[in-house]
Amino acid sequence: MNPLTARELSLAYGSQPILKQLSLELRSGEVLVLLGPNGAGKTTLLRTLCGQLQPDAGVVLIGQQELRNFSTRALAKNIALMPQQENREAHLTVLDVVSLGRTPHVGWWMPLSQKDREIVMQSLEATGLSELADRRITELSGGEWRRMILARALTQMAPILLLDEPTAGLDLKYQLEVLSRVKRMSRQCKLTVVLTLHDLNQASIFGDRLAMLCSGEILVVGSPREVLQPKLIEQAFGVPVSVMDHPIHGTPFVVPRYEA
Amino acid sequence: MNRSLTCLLVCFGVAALSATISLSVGAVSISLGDIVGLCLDSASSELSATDKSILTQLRLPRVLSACLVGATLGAAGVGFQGLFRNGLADPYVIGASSGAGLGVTIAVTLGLQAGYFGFSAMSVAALVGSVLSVAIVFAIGSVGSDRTQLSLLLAGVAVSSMINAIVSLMMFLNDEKIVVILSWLMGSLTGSNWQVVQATAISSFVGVGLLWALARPLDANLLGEQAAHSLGLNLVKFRFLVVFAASVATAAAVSSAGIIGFVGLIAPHMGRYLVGPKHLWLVPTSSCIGATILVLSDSVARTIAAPAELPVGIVTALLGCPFFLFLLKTKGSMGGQQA
Repeated sequence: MNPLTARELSLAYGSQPILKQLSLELRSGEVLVLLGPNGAGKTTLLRTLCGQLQPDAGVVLIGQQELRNFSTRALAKNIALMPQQENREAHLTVLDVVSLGRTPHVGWWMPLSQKDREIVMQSLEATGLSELADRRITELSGGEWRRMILARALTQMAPILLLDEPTAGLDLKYQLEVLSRVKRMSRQCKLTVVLTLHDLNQASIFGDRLAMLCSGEILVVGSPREVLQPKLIEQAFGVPVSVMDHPIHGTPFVVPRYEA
Repeated sequence: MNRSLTCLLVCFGVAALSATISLSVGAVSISLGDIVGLCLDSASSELSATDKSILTQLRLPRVLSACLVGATLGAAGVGFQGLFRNGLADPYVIGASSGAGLGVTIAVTLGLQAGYFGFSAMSVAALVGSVLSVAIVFAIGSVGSDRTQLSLLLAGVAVSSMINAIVSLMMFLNDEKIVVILSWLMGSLTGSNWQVVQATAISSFVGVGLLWALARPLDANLLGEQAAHSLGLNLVKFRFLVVFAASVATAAAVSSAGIIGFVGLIAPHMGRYLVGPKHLWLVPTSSCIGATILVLSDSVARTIAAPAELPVGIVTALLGCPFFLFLLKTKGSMGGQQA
């Protein structure tokens, strides 16, 4: 059974259609990377998949149940979202923020149990943040902050993880660090992960499957080799490319063809 | 003992001490020793019957009113600042104050006399006006496609401005009653009695208790609406509960003491400086600070120009503002609520 299915989703902002009868099926335990140019509808799709936006038409299914039948709390037990941006001005500590990941399980009023605290500590450890637990989030670097949000999402213990541009604004080292952790978490915790990326080569290395979006429609879904083809990339991005094999990973390696 | 708990206990102790000192000052001076003696053994107290009566029937309800109103405004301020993620928000930001002002203006203009549950007609009118205006703001700010905290805030500002204009117009048309209306709008605890304390206590405990119970959602909301939703927070329900709790608390304060500004703005900032932004500690700490500010301000208001009394709202602003600016200047961001 597919953990998450989108069927013929349509959504418009005013008169501007963003998603056009888009369908997508996730497979259990996979890392699916959403690719596409700016404005293709990637973030809108993620926000629709987790119930933050209501589609004008179509349905999202969690297992076999319609997403709109879930309460916000029940939804948060099934899907954890790592938003692209959050308020970083709150002077909460890393431990405070990661502990909030238990909110769907303990509710608004109840204190965290010993088991909840253990889960929080495990998430901090898994993301290498144990040492920074008492640090204010305003004092974190970009990479540490992303790891903290990832830790919070892991603390939710949701089987589906949606990550909106988890590498945005990070330097190469932190990009690879975050993506490696996500991939490792997916394997270890059997998580189904959907993430948006702009780097086609990172998508090729870290994604089990890729989905290419263009103007609110899915152009193609499949393995990196099926999706990263010159014609499809040029159609989506308007840039001519050559695709060769990655010298280390053997995955498709995209090189734009343009004159500097 | 953790630092936040220590700070909370210290703040509570300071509030209790301020209340005790406030009992001893006034037109008739009563020593702290006599007050403590009366509390321990009223039968063998050396206080005269008149002093006992002043203490138990006038000062004690007044000081308790000040504690309740200050604590309530402090907690309501935390609620609104947390909801809007804005350090400039205060209990009056979404129309509670202006609605109360309109209620009082109507009551005075129409010459309403009947009271209810210990409150005067003006207090009841203030309560009704406050709750109705917040309900209107919430109804306007919660419809349409853009149902965010910002739309609620903007609706509050717009409705407040309109109601203030109506109040000004009514005062202009009824200039013989302008003094009565103005004195109430400036805030005062002179009308405090045991019935008022009882009624204020019920609404205050409901409002403050609910805000305290919303501590974790308020923490989640600090990270932004997307994050809060992702953590399982039903934003519509959350907004309603915070606005309801903070408005009930504000209405309780306004109906018993008129409009007292500044306490709801500065108490949360001071609380945040002491215990940080976690609402589990911030709500009770700000309540204690609010209580202290109002008790001390009221003591000043009724002694500095004795036998005349200053409106306590003027004193809170005159004393609180410089102290707040001093803290802002020396301590920077005051612990983290973005303004």
